[in-house]
Amino acid sequence: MKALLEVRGLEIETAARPARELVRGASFSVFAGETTCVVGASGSGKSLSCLSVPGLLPPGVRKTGGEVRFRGERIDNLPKEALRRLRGTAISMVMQNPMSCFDPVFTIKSHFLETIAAHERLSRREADEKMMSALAEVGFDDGAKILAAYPFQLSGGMLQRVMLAMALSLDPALLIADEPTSDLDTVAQARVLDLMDAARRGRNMGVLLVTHDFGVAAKMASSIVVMDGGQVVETGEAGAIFAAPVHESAKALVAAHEKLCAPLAAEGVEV
Amino acid sequence: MTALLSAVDVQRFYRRGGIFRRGERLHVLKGATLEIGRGKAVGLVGRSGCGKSTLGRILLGLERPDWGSVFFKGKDISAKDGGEFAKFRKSVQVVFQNVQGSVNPRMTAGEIIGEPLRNFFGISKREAVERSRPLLEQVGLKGSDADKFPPHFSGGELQRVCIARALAPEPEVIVFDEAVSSLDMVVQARVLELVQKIRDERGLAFLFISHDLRVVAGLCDEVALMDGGVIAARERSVATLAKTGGATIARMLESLPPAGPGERAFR
Repeated sequence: MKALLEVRGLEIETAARPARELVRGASFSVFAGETTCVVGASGSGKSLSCLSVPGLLPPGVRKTGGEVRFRGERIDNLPKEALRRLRGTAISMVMQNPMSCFDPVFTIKSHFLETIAAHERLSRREADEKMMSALAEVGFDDGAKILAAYPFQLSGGMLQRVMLAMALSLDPALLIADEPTSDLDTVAQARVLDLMDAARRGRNMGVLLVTHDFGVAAKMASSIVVMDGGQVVETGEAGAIFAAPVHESAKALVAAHEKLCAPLAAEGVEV
Repeated sequence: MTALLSAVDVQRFYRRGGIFRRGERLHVLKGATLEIGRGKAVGLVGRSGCGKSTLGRILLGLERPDWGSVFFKGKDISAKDGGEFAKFRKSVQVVFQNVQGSVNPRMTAGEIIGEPLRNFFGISKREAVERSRPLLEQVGLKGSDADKFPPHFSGGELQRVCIARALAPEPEVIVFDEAVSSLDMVVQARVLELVQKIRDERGLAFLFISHDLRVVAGLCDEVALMDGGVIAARERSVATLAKTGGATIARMLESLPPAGPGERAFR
């Protein structure tokens, strides 16, 4: 099967001199209808690797090597405008901090309309319908109330669901989620992850999920990419990595996760 | 025996936003009662926004309750005068979630840890920095790290500096408010190990506030569930809480990520 997204030999450096290597030769792929989790400690280069896919590296950091292929075609050397069109419609993103991704002086509706208007020409009624159905998909029955709300009137979990609705509204083939639930409590986290997984199944969408939490990877991943010090140190099917991690840092991550789960299991909470 | 630190029937209101009109009133704590016994590790769990951090801040004396009182060793802290209040402040320390936000970036680690020492023991700055070095070693850093500034530490290391600062005045209670929630898993495991070590060696009392039941289960002698602005249930373990805590705790348990792929681990 051909990969939906294929990243080969990705190199990322700081733009300042002397340049510091942040990602060295990272390779990974995402298949349609599957979730690839990029797991690693903080500072391992996992977020940068994923941000570079839609060309969204932060200022001061640049890609110096490697290639990114989406549906078999290179997208890392596309002109800006072509890449902009690709974002949203083909590749969507959900970021970590929902509070800082919304502007507090605008309603959810104006954020949502901005996203849609950037990619499609729709009548007001069509746009309304689109927003309502996207919000319904992420579990909001009262979509109109959510659209009228300001970001600070919603909880972090609700905002993250709105962000997911916006990302899904343009029917992307690939969803990139960078630590989407790290700021949420466990109940809100489960809700967002379940919705994301349902969308993946329903649309045969590929998901690239960045997380430091092996529990999240256990729940979501078909395959896992372990990063450490800017390099991909281990790639494999999720079950295999959990059962027998090879690289030191993969072992450390699995061990930390097992240790975190152990006390509850020992209390007999596990079924 | 009286509890070391307790909140009795505490209520707290906040007023929400409102630039042009009076904001709507939020009743966050509706009569919460929680006791922390000497040397006991108490976990306080609940959904985000349920008021668990507010209760923590009230127990610390950082906020005053609108109703009810906080007792330290049987005495109401609002009745304490300056000197006595300083003693209370020394005995009750805190470690917050946002590590970068809880240290001054222009002070070295030694000065950060030395600050409570200077405040409570009246020693010189140089002496305070020297006394910070063994504390840094206790939390798994090097004595020479006392001369480094916060930006030179990673998140996990900085959280250790904050723990060292909390230990510095030899407190009797430490409140950890989501102290490991923003750390990555490997670092989180190491910091939790350190907290366990301190608990076992020093016999300190802890209040460990977290939304993550996995963290609390390994660490605490007692677990209290906050729900609807009150302590809804309180048990010896998460397992017993699961039987008595009702729908909220059941939801929190079932939403925990699984232990491995393909498993539905917690019920």
